[in-house]
Amino acid sequence: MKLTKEQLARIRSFIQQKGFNYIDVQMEILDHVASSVEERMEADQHLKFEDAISQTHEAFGPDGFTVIQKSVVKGLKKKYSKFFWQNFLSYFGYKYILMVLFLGFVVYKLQMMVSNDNFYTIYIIGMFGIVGILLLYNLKDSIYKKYMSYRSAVSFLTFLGSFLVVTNMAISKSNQTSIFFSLNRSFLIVSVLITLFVIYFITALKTAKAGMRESKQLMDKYKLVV
Amino acid sequence: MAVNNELFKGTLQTIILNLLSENEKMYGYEITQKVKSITQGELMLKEGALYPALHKLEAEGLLETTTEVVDNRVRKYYSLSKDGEKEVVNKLQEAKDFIAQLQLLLNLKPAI
Repeated sequence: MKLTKEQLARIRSFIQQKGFNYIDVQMEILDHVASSVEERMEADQHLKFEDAISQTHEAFGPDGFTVIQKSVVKGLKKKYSKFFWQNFLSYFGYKYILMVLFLGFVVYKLQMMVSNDNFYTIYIIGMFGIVGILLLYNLKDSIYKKYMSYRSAVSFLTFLGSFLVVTNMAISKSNQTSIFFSLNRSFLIVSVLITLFVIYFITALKTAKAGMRESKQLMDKYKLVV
Repeated sequence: MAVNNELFKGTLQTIILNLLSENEKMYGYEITQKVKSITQGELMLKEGALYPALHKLEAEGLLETTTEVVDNRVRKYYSLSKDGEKEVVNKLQEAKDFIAQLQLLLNLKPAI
């Protein structure tokens, strides 16, 4: 027998009551529970709907649905980490390496051309630009916050702050001149850090977008059933 | 007969990959039922073992997923990726070799 929309809504609220609120996690639990309830009620015509739900929940063992949530989270983390690092490293492959070196060179030259204070101002303006981009994305995509795929994919953006602190420290010390392979060592460190930061930012944004795409696909289907 | 979980665990990935190579695409509950019906109820694949294995295989890129609206709910189907198709051959051979060695070690019957 097939469950009605009302019965499915009841199972959904049962899952929510147990504390599982991420929609993509809920979806996978819901389909499993509903399939199991359908089969149990088919096998035993006298079995009540609520009892079939409890029996199914018990079959998951003492940890209940946590098992599914945990494995979804772990799987997504692994998936997006892989996505992130593959993309990050691709900038050091033959396709982009010249662009990356050029960026580093521009940042180095800029430090030589302008005073330390002016460079810092340019740096701060750049950071405001990045914060602006982030704000734009967050505002636009808060609709996906109930999706674990989105949460997992945007997590890389949260590390941007720590990157900034290190870069900031390096810039504040860059008036001390010491020479390294006939290059100004402080300028070199700042160039490398800023270049890495830019690549990190682009990759983190790309990863976040992949998470948004995945969440959107699920959301479109979810809208059809609720 | 209750089957020892530990014995089952080591071959779970192989079992899932093999089922998917024979069935193209399957959803979670369907896999548990398939194991039950093939083994005539002797082996019970628990949710607590199935989903971690599925999500791990997906994260490793051996499985691909698609979602479809079925019976007023969203269903997630798992299928083999290109890498998964290659891996299933290796995993099956590994399992067969292991079974042959096990038969020798436990004197069950002579190796083929």
